Amino acid sequence: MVDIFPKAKQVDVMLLLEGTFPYVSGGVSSWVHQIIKGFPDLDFGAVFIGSKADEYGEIKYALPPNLKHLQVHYLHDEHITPPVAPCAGDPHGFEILQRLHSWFANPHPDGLPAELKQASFYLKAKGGVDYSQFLYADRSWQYICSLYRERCTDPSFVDYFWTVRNMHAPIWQLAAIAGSLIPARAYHTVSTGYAGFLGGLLHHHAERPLILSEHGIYTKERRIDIFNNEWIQDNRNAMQRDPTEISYFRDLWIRFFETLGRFCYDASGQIVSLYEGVRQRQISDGALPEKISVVPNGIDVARFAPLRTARPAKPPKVLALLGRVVPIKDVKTYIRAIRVLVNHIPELEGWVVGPDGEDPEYAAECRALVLSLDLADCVRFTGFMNPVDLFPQIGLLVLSSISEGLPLVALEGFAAGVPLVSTDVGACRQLIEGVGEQDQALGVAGAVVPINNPQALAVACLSLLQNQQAWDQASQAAITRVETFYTQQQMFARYHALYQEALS
Amino acid sequence: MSSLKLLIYALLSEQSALLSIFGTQPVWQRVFFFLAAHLLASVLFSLLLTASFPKRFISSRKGLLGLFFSFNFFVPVFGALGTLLLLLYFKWFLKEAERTEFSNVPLPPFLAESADLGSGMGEGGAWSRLRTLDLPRELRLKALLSVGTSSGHNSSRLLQHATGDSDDEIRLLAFNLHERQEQKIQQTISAELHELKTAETPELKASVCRNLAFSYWEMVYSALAQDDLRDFFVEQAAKYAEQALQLDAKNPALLVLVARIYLQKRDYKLASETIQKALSEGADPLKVLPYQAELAFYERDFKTVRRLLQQDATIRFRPGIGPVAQFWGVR
Repeated sequence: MVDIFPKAKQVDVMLLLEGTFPYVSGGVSSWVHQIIKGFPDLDFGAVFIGSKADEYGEIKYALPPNLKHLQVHYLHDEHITPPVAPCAGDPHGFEILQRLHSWFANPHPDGLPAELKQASFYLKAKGGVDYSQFLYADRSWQYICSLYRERCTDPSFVDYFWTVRNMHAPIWQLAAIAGSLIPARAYHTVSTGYAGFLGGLLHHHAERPLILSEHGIYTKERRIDIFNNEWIQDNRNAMQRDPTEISYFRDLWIRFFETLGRFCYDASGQIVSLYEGVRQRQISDGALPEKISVVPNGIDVARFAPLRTARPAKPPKVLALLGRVVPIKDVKTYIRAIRVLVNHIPELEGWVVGPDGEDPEYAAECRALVLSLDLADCVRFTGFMNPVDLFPQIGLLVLSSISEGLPLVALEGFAAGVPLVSTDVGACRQLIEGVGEQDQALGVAGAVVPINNPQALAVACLSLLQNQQAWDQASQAAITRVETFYTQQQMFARYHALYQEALS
Repeated sequence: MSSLKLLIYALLSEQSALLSIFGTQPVWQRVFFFLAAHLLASVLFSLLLTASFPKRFISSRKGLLGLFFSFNFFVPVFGALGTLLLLLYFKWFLKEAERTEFSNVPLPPFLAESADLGSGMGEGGAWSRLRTLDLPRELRLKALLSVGTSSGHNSSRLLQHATGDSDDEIRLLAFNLHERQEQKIQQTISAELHELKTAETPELKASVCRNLAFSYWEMVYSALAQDDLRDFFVEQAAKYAEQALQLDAKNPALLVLVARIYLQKRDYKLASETIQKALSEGADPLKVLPYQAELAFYERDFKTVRRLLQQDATIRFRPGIGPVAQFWGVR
């Protein structure tokens, strides 16, 4: 494959991106795009980490001119095992590896053993443990066997062996990336996980600062995925199984991602949260409070302000869920709420505005749900629409998500005067009701409802759509709030200071 | 009176009975004295034995008393000797052997493989843990995982409750478990709706409509929808049941479903008529019985409720309806 991406020999800020910009559209990707464009004086680089190339389509964003370097790595596609080469394994390297595992079991406040912070540990055959040793060395086999005997409560050694192998393989891939990446004056990751681990390695390897901007909590989202996926085996029989306990392999995966998260928190000099809730969670997950600052998202209000006059005086009987058609957005609850609403307002329409290619199976389920609820004439899957075209046509913006950060679409809707009805997730309550005396005095910019509750969602929408005064007040509160607290200029000012410190 | 005194009187009575046989009085007097003293000794011995007998084995005190009395009275002398031996046994050996009901045994190897055997958790335990917000997250997650392994309306309600939890992780997990339960039924509905478009023969169409009616009803029965959405599912179930009945009017299972839909809609007259129709078409009377009882309850005819529930000897052991039947005095 020909590498058509821009290349440079050095950049100011290297962004480390996992499953987001430029291949996936969404809030985080838009934010990354916004940040790069917002600092035209800085040369940015980006490392995109994905799973498999065929899971991503074309690049979704126009690459800004100051994105001078982009390299793309697919962990599954690039997982090429070296030729089989039997060896004993470096005794010193494996001794350090054992210390690493002890540290994972009982993290010490002084942090990781120094040798393990270096990418070179994973790349060199002498004094370290390279990928070939991890796969083929006698010591590696013996170490895995001893850990199985000591810790594993699942009866299948075969599953244990392959779980350990598959789980750890990306570590060596990421170390290889860290070892060969062009120099940067600072590293900036937008999540923990693999990107965060790469950031930690780069920080120690190049001795340059690492900034972490965490929009959601990566570890929490992986944890939920692991709880629910079907492919992680549980080989215990009915007598061995306790319904209140998760299986050993699920627990192993959760601990793995928690460890990656701790490694990233440990390496980061500055940790940015979008709102107070994320900050608290980061602290409970091991981040030091003094490193964390809260910087909410901000938008270009001027871009959306002209839309206010283009909107009809009465609320249009059209609702829009603006987001990707993926399970985390809980589009199904939105569709169910439309069913309830149509009983009261037969001419009402519910639009699902966003790409549906990321999870085709879920998108198909949503379409099937529309048919089973007899809503074929009321619900439209419009695909991507420019918000500038969308906002004048809708009465309310709806977010039925089960997890959110601080959604940019909500801010954009606010700037256009569109009230928001949202589930009580992430910073949505803060956006709608305000936080602090001054903010709350601005009024309520919509309504907050519990997750997975179509009735509550429908009732909240109904009360705004059928009450002109409430709708007008919500619209005004939305405009004032975004203009006061969530402008792009405010966010850039905070990041300017962060970058100044990191680059100095 | 103490046991020792009773024992002395019993022994003296038995001794008197024995001595009276060898006396010089006329025969009828000796027989009379023997019987009187032996009767007294037998009563005293049987009282003593009953009092000493381990309580956990006593199901009927009168029966036990009768047994010991017979043993003593109809087996003179030897009965008394046997009683003495039994008393000694009860007094000394049972007292020494404070029997433990449970003893520790090593786990069999297939169980010992598991590092930690959990105690498990019922619905009640899970409710109480999930409602207690200040419990550690790990404990509440355990409760949720336990709920996730079961199904039915209680489980759905609990998961629905947990989706409103203040802890992000709890509510996300609850949401996913709830969604998984709903997804199974939703997939059936979608597949049947698709099938309905292509169904050509009346038999096939009737079968698809029947499946759709039951699937929509399952959403209601499993408490996977509330308020307006539940009403919509009830209407859909009624609509497809009606269509299926037009093609298969004598299907007793469908008629029972229609009756249940009428019950849900509180149309008791039609529900009652449909139940009768289902019964006349061969519906299992025992399966229909709870709905008839429910109808009687709404009509405040509590005698009929009790009478109906008592018609099924096994109803008290069935999950769901069992506790209801027991409440109404079904033994």
